[in-house]
Amino acid sequence: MKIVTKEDYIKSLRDLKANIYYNGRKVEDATAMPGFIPHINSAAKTYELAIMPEYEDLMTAKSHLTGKKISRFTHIHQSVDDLIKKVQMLRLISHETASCYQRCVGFDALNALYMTTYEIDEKHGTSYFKRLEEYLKKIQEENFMLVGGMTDPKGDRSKRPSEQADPDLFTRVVEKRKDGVVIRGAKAHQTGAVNSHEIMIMPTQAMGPGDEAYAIVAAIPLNAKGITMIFGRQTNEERKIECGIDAGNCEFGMVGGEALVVLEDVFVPWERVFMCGEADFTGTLVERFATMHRQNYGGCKGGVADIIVGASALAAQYQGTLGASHVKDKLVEMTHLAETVYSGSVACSALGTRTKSGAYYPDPLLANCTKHNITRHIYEISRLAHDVGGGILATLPFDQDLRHPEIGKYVEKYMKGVAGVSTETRMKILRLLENMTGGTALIESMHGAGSPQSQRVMYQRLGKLPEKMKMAKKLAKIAE
Amino acid sequence: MKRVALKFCGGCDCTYDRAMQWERIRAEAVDKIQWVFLDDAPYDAVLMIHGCPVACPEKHLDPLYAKVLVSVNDDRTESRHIVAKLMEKVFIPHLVCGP
Repeated sequence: MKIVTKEDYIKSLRDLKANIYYNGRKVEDATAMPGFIPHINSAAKTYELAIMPEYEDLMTAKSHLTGKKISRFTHIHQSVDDLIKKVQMLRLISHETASCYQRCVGFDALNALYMTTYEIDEKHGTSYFKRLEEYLKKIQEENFMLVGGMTDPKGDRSKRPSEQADPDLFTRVVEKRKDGVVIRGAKAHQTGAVNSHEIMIMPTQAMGPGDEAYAIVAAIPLNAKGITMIFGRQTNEERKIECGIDAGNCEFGMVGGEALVVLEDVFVPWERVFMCGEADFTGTLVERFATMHRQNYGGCKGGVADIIVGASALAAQYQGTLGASHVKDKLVEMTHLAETVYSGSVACSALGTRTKSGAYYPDPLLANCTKHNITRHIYEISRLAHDVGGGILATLPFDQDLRHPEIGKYVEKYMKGVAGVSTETRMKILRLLENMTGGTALIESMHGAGSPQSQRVMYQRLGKLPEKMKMAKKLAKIAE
Repeated sequence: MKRVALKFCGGCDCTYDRAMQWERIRAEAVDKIQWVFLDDAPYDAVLMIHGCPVACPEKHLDPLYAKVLVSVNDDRTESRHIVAKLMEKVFIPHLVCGP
C-alpha cells in the first residue's frame, strides 16, 4: 500500500474494514458513510495538495532517513525552517478546507517520540529509537494516516491511574508476552480515527511509581482485533448528510471528526512498542507532544479564521453594511486576532531548538501561549462574526424552504439583501459563517491540544518567575 | 528552446493566484521555453513563483542561482516581460543540480 492520491486514500480506508459505530449502528463501509465523508475529504486534501507543484514546497519534505520526497506529515523536523514550514502548511490547508484535516496529531506524535525514545535508550539501554526509525521508514514509504492517541478517559481526575476504581480508565498493559504486549483501555476524542489507518497510543499524563503499566507507547493498526471505534456526535451533523446549503461547508468537516477508540485486550508485537514501563519519561513525552501540537494552532486556526473574516466581509457586503465604519473596524479587529495567533505559531517555531536526537523542537512557552490565545481569540473572532453577520445567522429558514414551490418566493423576497446578489448566495455565506463559529467548532478551539488550564500549568513551570523577580529587584535597587 | 526550471513557493497565504500567473507565463512562452523541475538539472534559468514578497524558497538559495533566477511575487508584471527576462539568462555549466 502506498497512498499518493485521494483515490488511493479512500480505497485504503475501504480495504481497512475497521470496527466502527455511528449513532447506534455498525458502519460497513466508512468511505460511504455520509457522516464521515466530510472528514475524509478534509484529510484527503493533505494527499491532493502534496502532488500539486504549487504546494509541494510546504506539503512535502526530504526524508532524513532515506533521502526520498515524503509527505511532510510523516517528516521529522530537521531545522527551524521545517518547524516554520509546518505552520505555513497548516494555514494553507485550512484555507482549502476551513476545517481540521486531522493528520497533525500523528505527525506530532512521531516527532515527540523521535526525540524522547532517543533519550529513553540513552538512559535505559533500550532500543526504542531504532524501532521507531524502522516504523518511520514504513510510514514515510506507505504514507498512511496515523492518529496520535494521547487522551485517556481518566475517570476520577483526583486519583492516579493505579488508584482508579476501574483500572481500565487509563490505557494500560495487562499482559507482557515473549512476542509482545496486550493492551486494554480507551483513547477518547480521537481526531480523525475513523478515517485513519493506525493509532499511536501514548500515556495521557506523567506517570509515577506504581503506574508503570500505564507507561505504554505503541503503534496499532485500527483494524486490529479488539479495537472498536464509536464516533462522537457533532453540532448539526445531519446537515452534512443533507449536503445542501444548510451545512455551510458540506464538502469538509466542521472539526476533525472524533471517536472513542476502545482497546479490548489488543495484542501488539514488540517491534511496534516504543515505551513500556519507563514511567520516568512519560512527563517528557506528554510535554513534548503537547508543545508540538500547541505549536500548530495559530497555523490551522489562523487559516480557519481567515475564512471567517472573509465570510463576515461577504455577509456584510451582501446586506449593504460593508462600508459602515463599525463593520470595517470589526473586520480589522478579527484580522488582528487572526494574525496574532498565526504570529505565535511562527514565533515558537522560529525559536525552536535542536534536541539530542537531531529533531527540532519549538519553544514550549511560546507554543503554549499560542494555544492559550486560541482558547480566547477564536471565540472573540466568532463573536465579532456573529455581530457583523447579524441575528439572521440564528433564524435563517431552511434550504428546503427556499426551494419550496409555495413559500420559496417569500424566502427569496424577504431574505434578499443588496441588488445583484441572489438570496441563495446570501444564504450560502451566512450558513458557512454559522457552521464555522458555533457549537463543536468553538469547543475544539477551547480543548483541542489541551484545555486552557494545562497551558497555564506550563506557564507556572516555564515562565521564569524567579528571574523576573530578580530583574525587578535590581531596577528597584533592592539588595536583600 | 531555453530550458527553464519552475519552482513554486508552498503557497501558505498567497496574495494572488499563482497558478493563473503561471498559466499566463506558460502561454507566453510556447515554442520558447521547455519547462522542467528543479531536480531536472541542467537548465538555463530558474523561474520562482512566490505567493508574496517573503519569497521563502529564496531564503536558502545558493547565491550562484541569482544569476539565472527570475522571481515573480505578484501578478502585476506582464508575462511577456517575465518571459523576456528568462530568455536573457545564460546557462552556467557548473549549476548541475537544483538548489
